[in-house]
Formats: sequence, C-alpha cells, structure tokens
Amino acid sequence: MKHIIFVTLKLLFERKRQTIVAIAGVSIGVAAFIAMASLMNGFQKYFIEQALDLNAHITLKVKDEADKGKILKKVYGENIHFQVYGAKPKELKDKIVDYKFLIAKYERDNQIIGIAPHLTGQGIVKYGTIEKSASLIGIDPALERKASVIDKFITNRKLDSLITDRESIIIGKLLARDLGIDEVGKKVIITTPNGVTHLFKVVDFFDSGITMLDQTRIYMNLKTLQTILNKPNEVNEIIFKIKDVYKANELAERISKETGYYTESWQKAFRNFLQLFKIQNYITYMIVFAILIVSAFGIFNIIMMTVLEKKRDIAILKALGYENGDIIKIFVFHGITIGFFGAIIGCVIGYALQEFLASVNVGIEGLVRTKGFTLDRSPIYFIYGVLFAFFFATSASFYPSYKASKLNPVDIFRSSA
Amino acid sequence: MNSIVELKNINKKIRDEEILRDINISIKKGEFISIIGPSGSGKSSLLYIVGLLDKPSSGQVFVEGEPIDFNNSQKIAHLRNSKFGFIFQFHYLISEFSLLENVMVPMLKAGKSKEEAKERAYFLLEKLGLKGKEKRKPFQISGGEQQRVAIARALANEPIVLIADEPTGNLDSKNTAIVMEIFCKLHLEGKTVIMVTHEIELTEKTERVIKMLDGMIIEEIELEKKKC
Repeated sequence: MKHIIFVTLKLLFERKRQTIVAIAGVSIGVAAFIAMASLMNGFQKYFIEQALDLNAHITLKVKDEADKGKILKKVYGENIHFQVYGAKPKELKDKIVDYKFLIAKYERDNQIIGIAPHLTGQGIVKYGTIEKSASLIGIDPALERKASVIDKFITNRKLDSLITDRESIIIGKLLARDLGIDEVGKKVIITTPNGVTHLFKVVDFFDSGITMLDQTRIYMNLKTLQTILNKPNEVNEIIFKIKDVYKANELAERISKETGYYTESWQKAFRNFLQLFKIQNYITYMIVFAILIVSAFGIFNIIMMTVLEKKRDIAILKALGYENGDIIKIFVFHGITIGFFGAIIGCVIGYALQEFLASVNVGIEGLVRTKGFTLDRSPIYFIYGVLFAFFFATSASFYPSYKASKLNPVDIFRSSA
Repeated sequence: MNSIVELKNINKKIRDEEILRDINISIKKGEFISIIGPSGSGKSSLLYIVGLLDKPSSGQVFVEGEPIDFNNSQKIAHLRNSKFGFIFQFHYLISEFSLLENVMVPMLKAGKSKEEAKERAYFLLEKLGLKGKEKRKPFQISGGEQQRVAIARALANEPIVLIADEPTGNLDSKNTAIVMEIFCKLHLEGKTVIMVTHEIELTEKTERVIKMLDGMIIEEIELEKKKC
C-alpha cells in the first residue's frame, strides 16, 4: 500500500494548483452545509422550543363540531342526503365542566409533569386613545408554572402579582409597545365581548420572542377573567406538560378517548409550521447537495484531467509492474485525500462561519424575534459534512480511476514514439 | 546456457494487420542482443512481448522455462516488476518526482521499505554518475542524464533482463557512447540486455543481432568478437 500512498501524495502535492482548487470546492460545500444546516435547524429548533414552552405539549379543549344535520339525522336516520341552507350560528358550549376532576385525575399520571386550566377569550385593550384587540388568558399562576415555563418569558418575574393583585395583568411586549406602554404600573381598560369594561394595572411584560404571541397575549388571574367574561367557575382549555414531548400525539389521543374532549398535541397545533420547516429543510439540503455535486464534478474533472495528462506516467507505472488495481487505488486515494482535506478545511470554515453568524447582532422580527441568528451547533452537521465530502470525493474519483486502469501502456508508448 | 526468455511461434495482429509473424527466439542468460530493422518492421512490438507488456495473438512465451498466462494480469505485473527493467527512447520519467523518487517507484511496488528503496536509489544514481543530483526534477538535468536515471530505475529491482527500446535514439553521440558503455558494463556484470536500435554501429557491441523485416526475423547474426 505504501507505493500507492507514495505516488498519490507526490502527484497531489506536486500539482498544487489543481489540488487546491479541488480541495477548495469540497471545503466550500462542507462549510456551506454546516453553516446552512445549523442556521436552518437552529431557527426551527428555537421556534419549536419556544412554541413548546409556551403552548403546552397537549391542550384539551371543547371543539366546535357543529353538525348542521344533527336534527335531520335524528328524525330521518343516518343514511340521508341533505343540504342545510341559512343555518344560524348558535352559542357554543365552550366550557369544560369537570375540569377540577380532570386536573386531579391526570396529576397522578406518571407521564404528565404538570396540568393547568385556562380560560381564554377576546377583548379590546385601551391605553389612552389607542385600542388594540387582545387574547385574554386567565391562568392559575401556581398550576401554570408546573404546566409551562411561563416564568422564563415574564420580563420581571412578577407572575405571582396575578395572585396578590387580582386587578393586575401581564401584557405581551409587542402589544405594550403598540399601545405605547413602556413601563409597568400603567393602567389599561379591557372591554370584553359582553360589554364589561374593567381597569387593570400592567405589572409585567410577556416576551416570548414569537411575534404573533407577544403582539396579542394578556395574562390575568383565572378568577378575574371568569368574572369579567361572566363565566364563573368555567375554563375552556386544560394544558398538559408531559415527560416525553415526542409522545404527545399518542398521549393526546389517549386523553381524548378517556375524557371525550378534543385534544391537540403540539405537533398537531404547529403542523403548518412543521410542514413548512420540512419544505425549508428539503430546499436547504437540495442547495447544499447541489454545491457538493458541483464540487464532486470539480474533483471528477481534475482527476480526469490528471489521468489524461498522466497517461504516459500511468503507462510507465504499468511497465514497472503496477497492476490495474494499483492504478485504481492511486486515483481513488487521490479523491479520498481531496475529500479528507476538503472535509477538514470545510469543518474549520464551517465552524468559523458559525462563530461569525453567532456574533452578528441584528434585530430579527418575523415569525420569531431574536437579536441575532439562532444556531444549532450540533456536531452532527460536522459529521454529516465529513461523510458527504468523503462520499462525493470518492464517488467522483471512481470513473477516472477505472479509465486510468484500462489504459494500455503499449498504445501509449506507440503513440508517443 | 539456459533460456531466460523464449518465444515460440509468436504472431501478433492489430486489427487486420499482422505485426509479428511466426517469431521464435530464445534469449539466454547474460546475452547482449540487438534487434534492428526499418521502421514498422515489428522491433518494438517484439520487445513489448518479450517484456510481457503486450500479449501475442498466438504462440507461447516462456520466462525462466515457465509458460506465461497473459490472462493472469497480477502475475504478469509481478514478473514485469521483478524480472524486467525497461528503458525507452524517451526517458518517461515522472516529471513531478525527483530523480531519487523516480528510481524508488518500482522498489516500493516490490515491497521494499522507503529507507531501503532510498538507499538503493542513491547507490544506483551514484553508479550512473548522477551523485549530487538526486533531489533534482527530470527537467533540471540533460537528456543524457535523464536516460541514465531511466537506466537506474530499470535496474532498481535487479532484473534478470534489461529491455531497451531505442535507448540512444534521442541522444547525441557523446551521451550515446555513455549509455552504451553502461550497457556493456551491465552485460559484463552478467545482466541480459535486449536492445532495439536503428543505429547499426551500436550492434557491434552486442553478441547477437536479430534483423527484422515486415514482422519477421529475417536474419540472426552471432558476432564472433565481443567489443564490450
């Protein structure tokens, strides 16, 4: 094997320009893969983590399953064809009647870490002359802490104020900004759909980083919201925090079967985003694969050129006793060496790119709000990058190596005589 | 004297053209043979078959009495590496390698360690008058010197037969004389040398002259007096 390594390394190091170009191609591909994968997955993971922290792993609620033909079916049986025109929306029975019992029951389940009731509703919040619509969420702070990581997103950690002061609220950071509130202690008026207006004091801000939540949410004490919405002792949502977030689907199904209520896992709640991320990942990987394929063609061309230029040397190697297998090994090893150095340099550049991206301080406000790029710096991208580089570099060298091994030395000597 | 290489009823066809016709030669150990003939007479083709670089269309080749199976490419490559040394009109040195490395290449294939190969390469280059130039690249030395490096490379694995295809064809008279002197020395050391040449005067130094025409051996002359 040492004769193979000797010849390959000599050819590689003595043909510096071509070798550098080939290695640069692979390095760029690997670095681009590492940077893009960590950027894309970092963003997605950040979004999912935030969404998971904020939106419960499983939500139990009452679903509007308005069946317009319910009465008709009751009278004429299930097997009828009908069309209902002008059906008038009815008030939904939007409440979970036995929520205290359910909380007590599932608190004992060893797959569930925390469980908390919610009452949600809509309202108009007014500060001075500015009015904005808001999602009102009534919570029990003690239970909420167990079922979510809400504390993480409360700017001044004053969640307990909702217990001590029933007239207090925690308002979304962007909603506060839109209303012109820049400090705690300000008073706002909230008007509910049933016409009740109530004065509240802003005691803290809610800053999740997810724009759509920070722009609409207002947290208040469950009892207070029950009072102003005129829904005494009612809740319309129960949230669950579970041990294994990836078992949310099956657990949600089980709870739904057991309780008869509609349940929604986080995967189901965010299916649109998860689908979008899937497409985004496909696009990312397609671009990176395109880069790697281009560099593979680069390697192919360079090795093919080397084979064509070195025909005479291949012939003389064969005359000196090198076998076809040796010639194949020399050029495949050529590709592997390019892949190896390309992968190493690509990893270094990829790491440097990650460092650079992590240090960029730009305010991003879109689906999520961050002060810079959120990166997933898992070593797995480096491992994948190295494997891809090896795979492409080795594959690209096979055909030229095979062609080189098939050269007939006598033909070469005759043609150059 | 025993035959080192023997060719029996060798024919070679390339497409429809007959390159070699019914060749029978027996090359004995320590012989210095020259093959002459006009261009296209089949000299080089014969040499390639003797050196196991090419496969005959029919006939049998024996090396040290063993018949050669040309389908066993691994064995053929091993024989080329260990038993034959090739020298061509154009030196065919690998331009990226130093003179030393060019000489080391066949030895590494033979399984010698890098140190062993280096030591012998230094020895051979010194023997051929190239001491001090070992680290140079082929383009940094003259044509005569390049051919001497090619001879050193051919001698690397101590072959039993040296095969030279017009080794002086590209050299001036001074360098031709040097190369021929080297061949003579090698012959006197007991090496078998087979040389194809256009230059009749060079055949005077050999023991046997094989004349070829149109792919056939038309005459074999045993020279009486050794001039080496």
